[in-house]
Amino acid sequence: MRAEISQYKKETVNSWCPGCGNFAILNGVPQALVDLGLSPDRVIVISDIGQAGKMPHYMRVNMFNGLHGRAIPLAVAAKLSADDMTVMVHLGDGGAYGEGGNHLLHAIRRNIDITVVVHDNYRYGLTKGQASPTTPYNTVTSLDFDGVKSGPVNPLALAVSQSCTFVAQASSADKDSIIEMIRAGINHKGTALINIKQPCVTFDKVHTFKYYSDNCYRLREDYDPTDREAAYRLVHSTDAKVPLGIIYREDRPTLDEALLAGKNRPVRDTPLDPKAAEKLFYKFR
Amino acid sequence: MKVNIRLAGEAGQGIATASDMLGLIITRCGYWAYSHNEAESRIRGGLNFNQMSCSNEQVGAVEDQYDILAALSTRALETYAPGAGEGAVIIVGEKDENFPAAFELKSLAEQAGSAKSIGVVANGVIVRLLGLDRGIAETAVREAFVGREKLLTLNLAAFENGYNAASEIKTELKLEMPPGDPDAGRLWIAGDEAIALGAVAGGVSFMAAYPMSPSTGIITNLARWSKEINTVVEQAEDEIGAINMAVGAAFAGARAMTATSGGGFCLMSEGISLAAIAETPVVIALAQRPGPATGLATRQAQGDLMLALHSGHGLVPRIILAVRDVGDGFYKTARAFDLAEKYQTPVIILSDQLLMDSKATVAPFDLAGLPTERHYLSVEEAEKIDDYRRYKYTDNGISPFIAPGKSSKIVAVDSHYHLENGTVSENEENSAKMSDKLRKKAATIAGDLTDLPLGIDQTGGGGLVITWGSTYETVRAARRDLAESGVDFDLVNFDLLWPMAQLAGRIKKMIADAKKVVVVENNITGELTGLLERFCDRDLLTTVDKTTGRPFYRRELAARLKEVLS
Repeated sequence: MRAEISQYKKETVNSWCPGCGNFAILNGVPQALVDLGLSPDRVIVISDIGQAGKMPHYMRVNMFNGLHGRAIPLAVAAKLSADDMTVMVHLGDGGAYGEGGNHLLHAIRRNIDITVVVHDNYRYGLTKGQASPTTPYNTVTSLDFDGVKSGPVNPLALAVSQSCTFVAQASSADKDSIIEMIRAGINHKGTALINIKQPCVTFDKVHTFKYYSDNCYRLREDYDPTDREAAYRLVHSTDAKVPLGIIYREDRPTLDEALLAGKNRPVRDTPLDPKAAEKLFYKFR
Repeated sequence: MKVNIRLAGEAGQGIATASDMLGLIITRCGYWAYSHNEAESRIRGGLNFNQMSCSNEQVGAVEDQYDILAALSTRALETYAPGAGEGAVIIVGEKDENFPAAFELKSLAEQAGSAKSIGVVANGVIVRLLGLDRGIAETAVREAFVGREKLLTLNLAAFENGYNAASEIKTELKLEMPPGDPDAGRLWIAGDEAIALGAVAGGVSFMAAYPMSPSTGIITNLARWSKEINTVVEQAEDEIGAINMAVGAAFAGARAMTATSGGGFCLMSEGISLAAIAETPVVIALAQRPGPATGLATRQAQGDLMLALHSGHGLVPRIILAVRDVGDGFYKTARAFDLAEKYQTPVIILSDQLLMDSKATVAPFDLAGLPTERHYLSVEEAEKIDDYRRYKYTDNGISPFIAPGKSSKIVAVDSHYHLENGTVSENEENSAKMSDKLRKKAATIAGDLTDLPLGIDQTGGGGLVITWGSTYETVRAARRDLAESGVDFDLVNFDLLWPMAQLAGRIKKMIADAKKVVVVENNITGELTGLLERFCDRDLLTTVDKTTGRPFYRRELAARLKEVLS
């Protein structure tokens, strides 16, 4: 099937706030997929609960909107079972770095061929404005009336320190950055983490579209994403500027290659044959 | 004829290896063995023992008496010799002035070349006492040390030393087995192995689990066999990851499984609820141990029935099966995969520490009745559907499924209430339809599962004893004992624990008709008793329970049943 943008269009009622940073992602994803020649039947989009989690409902694509924080295990298993499919995960900063933090850590360890896109807007939008793990210190939220008293997670530093094999950042204020990074992430063999900085127009009056337009910058041509030291320095920088582009990249054997070696693939198509058990009887005789 | 043997010592003395070898020898010689272990939760030190029955008929009851005791350490000797049966043969591991013996296993092991071969020396003695075929026994010893010449020579010598020394033992007991059936091709297999093998027969293609006693053997065995089966096996980062991975794999079209014990199953609760609304099949093996919380990590209980029944919020159209004995684990597990996929719902297989860690001789598993067809749409069938909707409303509540990417059809799956096409929706009219769909599905399952209700052993006796899970075999053996002294009862075992409402009439009548009803279960909470209360007057039920983390033993059970039924 030839891939076309129109195949991804779905008639739905959208419940995001007007001007939400999610729209840039919703529009960018199908473009990236079509650029790669992928039609909706070849793609699985897995999300969790939150505003970000709604995204696949607004697209015509194979999808699983799972439990809050649990999109990554769904995706890991879906990829291992149907490795001929392109598997993409969309989570908010809460699902990725809070509720689902352990699963992200282990997806990085596994280096499995999935693309994890985090809609990082410093808030829990769906539940009306509480802090997320990335909300800056002292920010007043709908639960922290005196301001958040815990420091924010640094997701890029976390990913780089654990040698995530593809770490990138994009922003809703730079639509093309979203399309380019998603394309590159899907092309990358291994876990691809793409953190997308987006405004929450309803709950965050500081980090607006203008804020991101003013503070985001594209990494220069001479920045080498395979240079670990450079990546370390970049992600630990106290500079308020927001780098966009591929932060770190390396190639390492993937879990799917390792576990599926020697197997008939995709494993989901294994024919049902009880005699497979009979072949093992010798172990007990 | 049945001979009971206890092999005891400190952890690390090779008891598991030696008893495993002995059971294999008994099986290959054409007899039936059944054994269970009791051990402290340690890697080294701490008393443990293997309790084995050897018979010319199939055995499965848990015994605490022994005709032969091989005590590999002094502490084992002092602890277990007093409890040995009348005239029992005591094989001494280390000389002890309180227990005069013709020989000491330790010296025989050292003479062979290493004190570590003490278990094999014991096997040599026991094989001689039972009159088992020496050639078959030595082949088993040889196979255990294939490729390791030094150890092979050493252990064969150890076996020989034991075999020869046994001639010095004088006993009144009849220990030599009558002729066996060595061509029967029987299997010597553990409870967890049988469940794993049943999963293979049931088509498991994805397994994810987090290690937790006593369930770990299931994933370990599938991992061990992974080059011989087309299954992906992955250790999960935690139990929440495990259940969600199983659901994700099933969504992608694989046959998925996970395994855990009570504490891990608690963590899986939301995931089970997800499987219910997403309508993804998943097989969950829950191997029970005493709770609450960490409880007794390596001990026996069957206390998680209500947990299995109520975990996962909302309406979860679940199926709960309980494994009766080692061989049954194979068939129940294979069946579980079929049921899970047919009804697109979670199926929980309950087992327990005793069952998982027991080993038994079983007849080769009969594959003839096992399903060979999956329950999904073929690509051709799917392509014929004009507007494929994953959650199409149907009369029985089950919607035809094809995995994403197998056809051109788009498959949308969701954890919210959703429309037929999988899109999230709060619409009230649709919500009524979805609630109805889940109810219909549960009703369909209950209507279909009438062939898996109760295993019944009826004699028309006065009392009725009800069991579930691994207590069945021991109660059955106790029943044979009591029949000899004129105490008789009907025995009913629940293989299917849920759905149960469709059996309400039968259960009510069965209980009302009996002179006395006794539920035997190894837990503090009276799990099955509590469930049966939904169908009868509580006053009609008496519970015989055990709360110490040990299995029921045949002798004590016979005594307690006699008291309760008289």
